[in-house]
Amino acid sequence: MSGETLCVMLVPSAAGAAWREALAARATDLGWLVSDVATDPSITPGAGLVFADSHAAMLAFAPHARAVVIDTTLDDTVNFDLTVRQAAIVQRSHMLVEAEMAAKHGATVLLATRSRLEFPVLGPVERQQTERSPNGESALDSPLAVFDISTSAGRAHWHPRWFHYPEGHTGTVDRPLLDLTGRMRPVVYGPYIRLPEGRWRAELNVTVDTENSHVPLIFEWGPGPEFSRVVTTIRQAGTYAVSLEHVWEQPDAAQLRIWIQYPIFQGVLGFQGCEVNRVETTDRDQAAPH
Amino acid sequence: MASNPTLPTEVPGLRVTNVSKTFHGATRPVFQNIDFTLGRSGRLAVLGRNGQGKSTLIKMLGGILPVTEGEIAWSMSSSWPIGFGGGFQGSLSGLDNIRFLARLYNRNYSNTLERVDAFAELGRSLRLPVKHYSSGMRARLAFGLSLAIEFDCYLIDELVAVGDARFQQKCQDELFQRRKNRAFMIASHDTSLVAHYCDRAIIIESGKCKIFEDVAEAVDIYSWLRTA
Repeated sequence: MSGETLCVMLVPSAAGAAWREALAARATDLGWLVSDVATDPSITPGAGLVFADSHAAMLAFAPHARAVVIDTTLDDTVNFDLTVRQAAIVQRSHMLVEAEMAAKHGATVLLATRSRLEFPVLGPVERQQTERSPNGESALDSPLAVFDISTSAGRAHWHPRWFHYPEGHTGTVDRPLLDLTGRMRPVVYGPYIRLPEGRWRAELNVTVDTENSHVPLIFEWGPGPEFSRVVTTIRQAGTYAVSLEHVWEQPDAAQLRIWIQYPIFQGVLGFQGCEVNRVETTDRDQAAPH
Repeated sequence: MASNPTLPTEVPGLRVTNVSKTFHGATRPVFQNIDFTLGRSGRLAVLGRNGQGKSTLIKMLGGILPVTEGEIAWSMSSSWPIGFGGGFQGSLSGLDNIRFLARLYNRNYSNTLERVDAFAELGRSLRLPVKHYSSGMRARLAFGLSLAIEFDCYLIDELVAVGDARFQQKCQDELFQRRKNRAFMIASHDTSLVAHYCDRAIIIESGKCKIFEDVAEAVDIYSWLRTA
């Protein structure tokens, strides 16, 4: 035992198991112990290679001895069942938030999709190749791309398939159409992907067929019970752009909701998902009118 | 939520298929493509703002107005539109109108007269020509006759328009209590009456017709339409 130590958080991914194996093998070669906080919470720094699953567990280690391995694609979600995939995304977003918090406190961020990574303390480690899942999405298509440090810089498209439609929909999974006839109620909500603290913007385009009437809608965006809200009555059929911003005071599940404001006789809403991006304070200041 | 109008478990007493109505000379239809069925004990409300075509639909179902397109198929007997003032020969007395309708519907005259008089409480006024009746008296006679002849389905066009409060209560008791197993369609603005007595509702708005299995939902929507 050399006394050196490294704490690693592996966000679940297609390459996660391969990285775990490769890291353990490398640590063993160096004569380190390998342990996991999940199975032994009493582990202390100096115990060799330690796998952690939360930011809090990593704080016990020196900042230079922390690393997170992230993957914002969905390559390992081979199950085609949408509910299972939705749950996997939400669960992974929790881990990615933890990873981002760890990174803010000094952890080195590494991308799981690469086959060779330079870990602090441990040095270079190479993993075995893994097969890509046929239904895996590219990094840019993934709803978790908001966490991607290499490509999109805190931006993602949240496809309509990740949202919930309490009364179902017509149209296609890419362009769901919602009959608005009925009581005041939410017609779209979700996807409960966890976002880190900060200001987040949701931009969405909706098509509204008013059917010669008017359609009173409420758009809400935010975590938990806190929402930013746009209340509007649409009187002309067409495509409308809606932009909402909200500050996450702490990491929490993101919810976009579209409500009917009061009971209506007719109207059809076309939902196309939304773009989500992190708003830096300087960006907002520049955008503000002078 | 608006839903499929067909009730699969019940043989309908009325089937309305793709019915549209456009008045002569009008450029736009009153409504289009109405589809629904009514069971033999169904209680269907017809809701809609003024001028949307509630009374027109009731009159079409009662055979007073022709359909422009589509089909109305009855497999149960239906009343004339109650609340509708027409249908009487004005120069004949109330008694003669009762006699005429008793013969037309193959009912015993004396029995029919007794039942109409007991309900309508018109007394000696029955001997006067109907053209001298007030609208309330005509409504009493029409309602009394429809109850005396007995139908499988009652078509009601705005019950509150018939007579005073005591008479309205009498009408409601006769219709909704004593004939609770009969079918009826009621066109009304009275949302509490609709919510209390009906099990489905149609809303007619801007030429469209939607049927709601949840009456409370239909009443909610209609209430907002009225305030819009």
